[in-house]
Amino acid sequence: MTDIAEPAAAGLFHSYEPVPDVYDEMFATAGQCRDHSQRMLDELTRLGSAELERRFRQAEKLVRDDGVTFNTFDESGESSRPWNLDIVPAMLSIADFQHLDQALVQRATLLEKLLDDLLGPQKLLREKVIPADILLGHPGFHRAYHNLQPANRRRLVVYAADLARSPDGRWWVTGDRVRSPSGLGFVLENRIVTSRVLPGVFRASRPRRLAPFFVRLRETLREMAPRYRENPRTVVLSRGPDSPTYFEDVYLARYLGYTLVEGGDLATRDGRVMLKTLGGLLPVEVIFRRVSDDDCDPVELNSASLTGVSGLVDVVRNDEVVVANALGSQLAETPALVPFLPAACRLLLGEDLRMPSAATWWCGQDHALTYVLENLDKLVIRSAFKVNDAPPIEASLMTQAARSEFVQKLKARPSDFVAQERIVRSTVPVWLGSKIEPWHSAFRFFLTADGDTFQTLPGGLARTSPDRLSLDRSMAAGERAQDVWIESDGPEETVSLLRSSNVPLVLKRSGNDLPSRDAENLFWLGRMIERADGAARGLRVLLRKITVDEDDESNVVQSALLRALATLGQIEPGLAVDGFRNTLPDLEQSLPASVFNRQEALSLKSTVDGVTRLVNTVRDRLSVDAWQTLNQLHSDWNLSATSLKTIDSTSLLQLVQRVVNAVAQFGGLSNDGMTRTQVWRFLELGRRLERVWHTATILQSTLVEVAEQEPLVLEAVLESCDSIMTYRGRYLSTLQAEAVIDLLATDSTNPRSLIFQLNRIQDHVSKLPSAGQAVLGTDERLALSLYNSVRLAEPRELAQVDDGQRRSLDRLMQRLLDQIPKLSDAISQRYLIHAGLPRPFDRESI
Amino acid sequence: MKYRIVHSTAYHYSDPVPVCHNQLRLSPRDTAYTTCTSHRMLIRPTPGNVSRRKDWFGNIVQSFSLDESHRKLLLTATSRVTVSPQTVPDAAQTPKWEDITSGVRTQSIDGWFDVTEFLFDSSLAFRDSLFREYAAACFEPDQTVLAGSIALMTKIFREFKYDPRATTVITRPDEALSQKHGVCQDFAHVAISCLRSLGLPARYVSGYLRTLPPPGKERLIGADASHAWFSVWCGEAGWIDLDPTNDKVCGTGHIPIAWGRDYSDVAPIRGVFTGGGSHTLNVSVDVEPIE
Repeated sequence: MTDIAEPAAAGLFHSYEPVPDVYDEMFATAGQCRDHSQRMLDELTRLGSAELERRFRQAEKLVRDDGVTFNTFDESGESSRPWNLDIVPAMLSIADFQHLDQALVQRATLLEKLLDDLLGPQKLLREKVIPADILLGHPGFHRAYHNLQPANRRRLVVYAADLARSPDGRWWVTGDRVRSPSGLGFVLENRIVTSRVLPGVFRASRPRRLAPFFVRLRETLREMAPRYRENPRTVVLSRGPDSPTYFEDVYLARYLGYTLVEGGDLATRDGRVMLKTLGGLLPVEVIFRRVSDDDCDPVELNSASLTGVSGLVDVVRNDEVVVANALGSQLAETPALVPFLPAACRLLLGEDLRMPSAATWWCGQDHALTYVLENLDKLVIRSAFKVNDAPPIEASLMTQAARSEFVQKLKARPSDFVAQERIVRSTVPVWLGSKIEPWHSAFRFFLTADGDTFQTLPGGLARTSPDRLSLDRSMAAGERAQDVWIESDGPEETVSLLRSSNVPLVLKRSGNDLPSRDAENLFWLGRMIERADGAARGLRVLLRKITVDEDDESNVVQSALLRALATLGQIEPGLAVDGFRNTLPDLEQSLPASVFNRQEALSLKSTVDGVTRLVNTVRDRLSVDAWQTLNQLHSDWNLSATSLKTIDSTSLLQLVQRVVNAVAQFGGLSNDGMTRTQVWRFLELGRRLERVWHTATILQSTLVEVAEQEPLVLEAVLESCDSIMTYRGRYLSTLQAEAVIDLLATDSTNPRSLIFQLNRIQDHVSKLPSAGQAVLGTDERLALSLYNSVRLAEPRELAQVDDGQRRSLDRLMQRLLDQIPKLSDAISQRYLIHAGLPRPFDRESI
Repeated sequence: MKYRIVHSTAYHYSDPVPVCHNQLRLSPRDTAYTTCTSHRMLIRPTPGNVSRRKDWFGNIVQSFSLDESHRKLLLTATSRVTVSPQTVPDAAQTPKWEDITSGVRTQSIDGWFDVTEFLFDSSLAFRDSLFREYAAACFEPDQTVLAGSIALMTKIFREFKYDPRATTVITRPDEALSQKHGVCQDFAHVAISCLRSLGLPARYVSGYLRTLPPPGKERLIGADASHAWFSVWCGEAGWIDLDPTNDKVCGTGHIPIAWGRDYSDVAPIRGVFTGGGSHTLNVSVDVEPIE
């Protein structure tokens, strides 16, 4: 229990004033801390304001480094609003949590039984406990949900409740979330960050641990599997990188140890759901879905949906796969059902509802409509059927005209609307840079199925805002998130998510179960990373020449570099053609515009954006460090429009240097840290192919036509291809074309040479899943022939000049540039091609 | 009457289709006055497994998938159906339409539960003042439900132009109403929307129609088509089928396959395929009276 309380007046909370007539989670009255928060208050006070601010900045950085954003990416590749985490946790007492736990377990049980009835015998409708219209007129009630799964199968593996606490200290449920409740990933992230920046506060407050909940979640999913219950293949079905919760999908998949997939990665074959992998189709037993019910199967549900798995409903019907939460569960979050829950609870559970819902009226009932029309300004109006992030209708904020228009709409279709009473939400202390102030809070708690009951996560998510009305709007509303800490009553057991089992595991050196789409994204990630590196190295040489502003000599080098960069798509071709001297000031101005030109697919900015997009799609395949390296690069390159206008050569050089560094760091991490599975192989293949293309382009555009002062050009080429140190080590400062060509093309000891890349490519291709058969595949043949053509080339002959041209070099480079795209296509054809998008039949037949 | 019905559908694709998943509603269901005595479904290429079940509405659904690449898909359903004459109640003796409306709304009339879902909006038939106004003349106060529905059927028959090129399977009923044209499906959707706008339960029926050759001519084989009409709930008398395309109370010439809230519940072929490029579709229906 609490130590003897020091008066809070001593420090940080000195001026903290709870809002009158509002419940404050930390203070009973001004200066009077609630017992369960005392240790936390003491520790925070001990840290003091300056230190707390420093920790707050630290937390911000951690969140940024982990890339937690609510919406990951928009079209332009800009990352959107990051998740704002407040450093002060919202602490709840043992008694509070016991009450919440009991009430929420009851509510989850009720909702599950309610679904059993609505999607089964429908007794509640027939006996008029719930108006039949709410289900039978529900736009989301696909008839396929009815009697879809075997009786007594669990439906709700995860349930979330949104809560508010009123001034009298009572809790109210403001919403139920059963589709695929979001927030668990954020809870984990918040906990990790908060406990890391406030280790002392964390130790002193001893909040309950979160891990046992996730262990239970995993066990529940495992136990539900129709077969292979010991270790069933389980996937997290995501809507993909465009989904607002993609961060969380990735996070949860990784934390729980499941394969992250999108609809296109799964197929139904012979009555089973299969994962498409490099090695073929592998059966899936459990799908933990993050996709709306209606979007799970275009055959029987929403036919326009592209995120689902064709034929999934039929497989579920035959009980050959388990989908969690069960298809159709979303009906339980229907706002129109809320007024009828107390009666349903008495009928289904034989007991009273322990925690009330915020008072709700379904306007489809005459008396409710009358009440709502009379009290319109006090209420928040929402859709009766849909739960989404659309803002509610607040008549009190409308103009007279809009208001009467809305009243007409409400009267015309009353059953489409519900009205809800607002709750004066409790406050929590929020750190505001120099002081702590009370902000209103909305809580989300999570439950998972456990045997035949539920388990409540001893933690949760608090959203806070100084404006209490804004919290009623949506999940994304609220300016800050807080980690919810639950007071513990004893030492916490440490658990691991890795399960031990008595059945011996089959040891694996796996890789063939890599989903084909992941392989494709890794391949392209490899290509993009290398493309960025090549471009950055070329630009770096050019920028150094510009910024140093040497004498005439550098013009030769400049024109050669400009030619190479134009061929690589880095700069507009015009820059490479005009006279050099006159264009110099121009170049300094136009170069940043070229580099940042998003319209140009090959520009460095587009390439960096491409890297970011791809790295997010394969985030669960890379180490956290590797991912952070590239994510940081994205942040550095995410300049505002204004800073883009003022950017000069020196700061551009710094940005370009960042690319080179990040790629080097990523390369080191993948070389040292990645197991040599197909994941690594596809990443490597992409990089090697791109490097061949890059080096061949540079050699062809700079050395085929012999320049006037060739040694200067040779030096720039060596620099662009990262081989200058090796060259100097061998030949000191004597620059000759033959030696340069040898080093960059035919020297198999130089990891930057063409032959080195082709050797690796040939090796990788021969180790892909379908390789090594009697007849070589197209990819294997192409790789071998390219390797041989460079292997058999003579450096002397390549360097040979006739009429000012190196024809032999030109021919060989041209061959590589022609064949590399073909090799890339051949690999795609063999391993990466996905079936096209599903098209519906029923639009075209009668 | 006994019929032998052959319904063939052929898809020809310009590009191979590697995968397709299908759900067919081509097997006539049994009703109070019809019995399907045999049904055979021929599918080429032959799928591994065709499953058969009843959907929520009691319609028969056959499902299959093909995961071998194909350029054409042939479906031939051959059904034998016996249709007995049904007793259509005297329209004047059916309940007043307002009694049905209030009976189902207050859930007090016998049978309310099973008809309730046919009161609400579905994707191709929905409530709107547009439809209520159009139907108002047929449903004067105290009019009986069946007399009003028959008047509505006749009104649509007279005022709408039959034009197969004017609409598609996804034309909305408000569009069909404003243009006053369409095919059997549009007429049914307009009628259903009108009835629902008045608070009356109405459903969509897909099926076949026996066509009589012109006097002195041979019956042309395969020249028939699949057909659709609507059904209105008349309280104790149950569902009465009305055909606005022919201005007829349905009789032994109408052979139902399936019913639902609108076309999208009973589409004969539903599903998805990948690839295929452009494709052509040929449908032929032959309704042959055999006794």
